[in-house]
Amino acid sequence: MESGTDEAYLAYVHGRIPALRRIGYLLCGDEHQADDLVQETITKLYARWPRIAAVDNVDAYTHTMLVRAFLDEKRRGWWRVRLFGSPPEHAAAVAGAAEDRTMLRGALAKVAPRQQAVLVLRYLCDQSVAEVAEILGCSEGTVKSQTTHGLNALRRILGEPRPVQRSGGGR
Amino acid sequence: MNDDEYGTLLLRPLAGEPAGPPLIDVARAIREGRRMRRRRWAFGGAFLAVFTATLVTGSLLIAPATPHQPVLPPDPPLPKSCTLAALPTGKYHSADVAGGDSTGRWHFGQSNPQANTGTQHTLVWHDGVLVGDAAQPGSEVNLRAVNSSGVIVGEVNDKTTGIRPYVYRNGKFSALKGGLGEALAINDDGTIVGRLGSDTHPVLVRWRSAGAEPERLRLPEGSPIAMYNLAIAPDGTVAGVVILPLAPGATFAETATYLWLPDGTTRRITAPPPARDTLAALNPLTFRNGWLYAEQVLSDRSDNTPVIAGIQLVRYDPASGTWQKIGGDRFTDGPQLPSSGRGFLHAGTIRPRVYVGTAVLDLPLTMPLADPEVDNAMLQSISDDAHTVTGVLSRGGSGDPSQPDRPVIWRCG
Repeated sequence: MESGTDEAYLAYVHGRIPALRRIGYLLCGDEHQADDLVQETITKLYARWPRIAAVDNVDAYTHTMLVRAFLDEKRRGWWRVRLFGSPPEHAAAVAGAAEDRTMLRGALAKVAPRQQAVLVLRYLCDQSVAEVAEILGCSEGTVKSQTTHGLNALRRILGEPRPVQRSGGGR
Repeated sequence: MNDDEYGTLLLRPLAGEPAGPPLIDVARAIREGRRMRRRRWAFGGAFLAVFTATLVTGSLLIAPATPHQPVLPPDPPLPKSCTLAALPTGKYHSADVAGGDSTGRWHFGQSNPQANTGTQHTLVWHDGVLVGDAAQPGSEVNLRAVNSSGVIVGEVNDKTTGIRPYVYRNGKFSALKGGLGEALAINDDGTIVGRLGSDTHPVLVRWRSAGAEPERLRLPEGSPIAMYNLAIAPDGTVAGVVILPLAPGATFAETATYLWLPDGTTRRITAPPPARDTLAALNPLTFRNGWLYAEQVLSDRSDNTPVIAGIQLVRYDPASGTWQKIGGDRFTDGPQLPSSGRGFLHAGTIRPRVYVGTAVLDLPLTMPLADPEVDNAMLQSISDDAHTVTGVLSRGGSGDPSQPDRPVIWRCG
């Protein structure tokens, strides 16, 4: 345990807060909760920093903590109350777009939490299957299956016809 | 349309950035993170508003201060081989080793390091034999350094008195004079350096001995705040960091690294960053074999938000003013580097590799004590002659009581 590591922590956190906020926001769709998720993540990050700083991929470790914070919040149900009790303020710029976003976000919220995380990480955060597997601590096959299940669930919720499959899924 | 195309199209409306300003409180994260740590270690609240910034003055790191080739402090020879052994933990199922002295004979740690509650004991080893087992005097004890006489310094957090600098000698803890604060390093002469006062207005102090009154280290003109980074050399030279006054219109305050020399003078030291347009903060880590080892935190200066670009390990010869790059351009890569007092700068991967001067010593993880496939090894001390290295083996680092931390020692020759 050594004081220099504190500066590394600060430098790391200051550099990563924008990206962490973005991921948190894409996961939950609420900037206030995104800030809460990031707050929880960087708190745990500090508590574990002397060890985390020794791992090969600190970003992956931090993203894992963020996603786990999101999943924990889902289990506690706070997010659901927040979402439907108070629509995101920033979504009102264009009425139609805002409605689409709210509907889509509501549909995504009904998907199983881990599937939500997989879909967001893959399609909104542009993470590869391998990267998502590392973040979630599971196999690439599980990520692919969670992707398929999540998309199917979204289709059902949104009432969309299943598109014709011309090629296999999975990156 | 395959699943990936469908998913991308479907979720595209949700893409976007949070619109409002962040409501993230790094200071609170650190305060709460501190409480979550099983061993508290100090951190200055004043630093939260600060990112160190030293402007670019050069493009290459090695920069001798004199035109003549200086005679540099020699490095110890790299050992040819090392053997791994367990450090005894007595009656404790789990323990760690947290630091060692320059000779490699004294080491300290604590029992049950993964416990979040209950009493932990300070453990002391001499020549690899467990010779000390003492109940800790406060709710949180953070020991940082030991010298060649077996005197250990650190701080104790007692709920009634707050965090105070402490010393451990001959099996007993006692508070250093001066009130609230932290003891950060000790040299083999018994001189201790640390901080006293609040987190926001700390002062750097030196205790000439464990029983002495604290002496304030004079800050350079115009530097109102001292930071936590401190190292002390065998001759009493102290290296530390101060926060400079915020420049008009600046977003971040700069910091500066100083030496407090035995003759009472101070000297600012600045390592040239490796590239133009780079901010570099210099954190002293430890004095070893005549060199001051430090980490240079590099960041992109093109943005008001400092984005870390890497950490470079450097060392400085105070006698000649020579800087040398040791290695590592990212703090997650490369071998580990000894730091001031307890522990290492965990610059390395989980492989046990440590710098000996500018060379790298690879340490073996051998069965049955260690399984190189699953064990993480965090190094905690290396002797000046590089013959003795200690560390902690862990599996996962998750605090799982079924996978206790194990203190180990490598003996090299």
